[in-house]
Amino acid sequence: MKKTKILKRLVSVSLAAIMATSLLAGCGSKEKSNSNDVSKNESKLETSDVTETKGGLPDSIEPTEIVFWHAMSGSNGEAMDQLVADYNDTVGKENGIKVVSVFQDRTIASKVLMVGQDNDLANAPDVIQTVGSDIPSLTTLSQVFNAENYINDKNSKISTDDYYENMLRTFTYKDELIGVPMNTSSILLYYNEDLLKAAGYDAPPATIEELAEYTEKLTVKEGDQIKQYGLNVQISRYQLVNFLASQYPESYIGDNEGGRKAPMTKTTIGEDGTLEKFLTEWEKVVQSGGYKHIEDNANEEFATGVNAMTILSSSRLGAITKLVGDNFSFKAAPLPKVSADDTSGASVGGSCLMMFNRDDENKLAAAWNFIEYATSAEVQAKWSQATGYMPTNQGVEKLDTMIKFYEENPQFLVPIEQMKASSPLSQEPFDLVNWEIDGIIKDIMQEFGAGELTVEEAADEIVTQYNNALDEYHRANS
Amino acid sequence: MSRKKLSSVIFQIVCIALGIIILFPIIYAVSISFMKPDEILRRDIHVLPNSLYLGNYHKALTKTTLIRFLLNSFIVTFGASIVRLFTASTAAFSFAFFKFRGKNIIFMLYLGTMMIPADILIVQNYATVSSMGLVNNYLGMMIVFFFTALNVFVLRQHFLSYSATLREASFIDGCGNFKFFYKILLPSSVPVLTTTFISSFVGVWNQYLWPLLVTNRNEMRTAQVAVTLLNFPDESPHGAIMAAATLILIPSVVIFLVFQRQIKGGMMAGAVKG
Repeated sequence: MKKTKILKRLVSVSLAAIMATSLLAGCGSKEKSNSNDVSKNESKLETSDVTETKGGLPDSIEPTEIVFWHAMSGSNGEAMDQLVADYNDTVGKENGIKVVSVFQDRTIASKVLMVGQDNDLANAPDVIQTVGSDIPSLTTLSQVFNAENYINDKNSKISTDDYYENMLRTFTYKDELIGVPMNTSSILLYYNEDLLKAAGYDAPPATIEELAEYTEKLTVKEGDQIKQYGLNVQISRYQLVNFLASQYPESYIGDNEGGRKAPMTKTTIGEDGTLEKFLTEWEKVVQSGGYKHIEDNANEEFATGVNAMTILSSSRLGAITKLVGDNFSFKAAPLPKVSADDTSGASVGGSCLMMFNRDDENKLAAAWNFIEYATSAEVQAKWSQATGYMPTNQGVEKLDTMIKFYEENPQFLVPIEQMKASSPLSQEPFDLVNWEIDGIIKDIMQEFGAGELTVEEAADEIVTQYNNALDEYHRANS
Repeated sequence: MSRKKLSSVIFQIVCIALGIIILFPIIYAVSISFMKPDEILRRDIHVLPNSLYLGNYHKALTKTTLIRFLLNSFIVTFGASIVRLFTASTAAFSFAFFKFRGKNIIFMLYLGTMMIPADILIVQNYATVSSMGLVNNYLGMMIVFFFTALNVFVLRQHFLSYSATLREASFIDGCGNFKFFYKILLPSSVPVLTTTFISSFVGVWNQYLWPLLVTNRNEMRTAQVAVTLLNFPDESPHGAIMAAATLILIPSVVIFLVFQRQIKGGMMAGAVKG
């Protein structure tokens, strides 16, 4: 029995040790928010003891290592890794800076919020690639260091003049530039040129009314079965806001300039008439008889001739070119206008490079050095060719390599021309709960696409549910 | 054919058909992993590959460090499952054999944890793990999987099927609690322990979010991340994704095949006493 007693004692001592460790671990954790939902707790943050760093860029940088979190996978991920490797071998090496790139998937904003709320600077990044819609939530973190602080600094190699105005506004919040545009895209109409020619069309449709007409003519039926759809596009938030924002420059989608001046509290698409105008026109497409309103495998279906036209982001240009191969000739065109007299155009979307202050001015300067490199004309030219994204630096257009590239691949110039024809005010809104609004619009537009809702019913539903989602967000975060 | 035989044949046909329906997505995924890109994108229905094209496997293995990811997954899964077995069996032992004040309340609290969705604990868990300095660390990746109430519950139910006199008899023969636990109870509970281990293995193996959140270095990622790394909405890498998914599936299938007899035994044993 002596042995049993020793065992008992051993177990109790071990248990006591484990409990003490866990208690100590609890005590050791820094003051943090009790939120379980990082995305809904922005206004309650009690973050950090990070020092305010607004002293401008230093004249020199000490050797250091910085961490870069990105969300690029597939071949774009490879291009990103190559960009980082090139930096480390050239400019980074000259300045003693090493960038470690880390893939963080699409949960990147949640992870940054988690690390920021916990003020876990040891495991935090220095540079973050983030999409525009995450800016309102990320900027609630005191560690986020706005690009505005450095972009026009005397020691900065880049300035706001280097970038397209439309793209700068995409990443501007409360009148401050939050991140430097890195990879952007725009929405395009992709069309099978051979099928359009066979149907007697020499040019793509320029308005929704024409789109409906083309859709009807390009549809091939066998009895009641549709063998070839004229058009495939699922209207979700991305497509809808582009159709709405393109109607006139101040079509902001929501109040406070679409949430860019201050958090958006309501949508304005019901009162300014843009939604009803779009739905009235879109009904013609629905009634064309050859519109596929659900998106399955848009790239593949277009590339295999199932759909004659489709509306997708310009970031798919590379993939579709590869998929279509020599099967047929396809082209990309600007997004059809809701009506011929619309005065703006599609918006640009994408991600920017944002800095995270780890309480180290030298790392901030090193992060800026990397951002200068990644968004420079030469690197953007290479990046754009590798990924299909629109270059963000205006200087790219003057580079011989890019001039030649555009001559050989005129499709890639279409989104840039579309952006130039649009007002810089044409932007996706910062609507705080964009994923929820995406679901709302998708569901309602699916019913509308199936002919189950009238224009008035669909408009009413979208506006009501949009505002309800925003109200709920503000209630939860007030 | 007698009526009994006929109904047995029909029953078996229905079972096989159900099995095929359930297995079909997996069979199709494996089939796609051997198809060339143009075969995958063909418009006509095409279930089996024309030839055994290995390019997708080559891509899955070269475009990501899949082998390293698989090793990470294995370390985390194996470690977490072993520890889980230990925590579950010791807790279940005390709930089944010891008498102490508040035992039922504590057990209900244990079961109560099953009602808390794991996702809402993520932020707090991260804060704890990070304050313990376990970010980018195997221990940090597996620590949240060290305990589940379900495993405690299953083992407790199993241990309750043992007569209390068995423990008393072993005490008379000179056993202590610990010796009774590891010399008598555990060896006779192998089927249940195996089931616990396998369910834990499959559960932890399929984890994606937590290992991604608690690691900030590419070389520390788990196998599930490899599938995401190959995927990009603007591309069509179906073949490579299916190849990676097939490779990731292999360990779970092997574990299941090796221990399937014990799983059956474990399920039956769990059903004996409620």
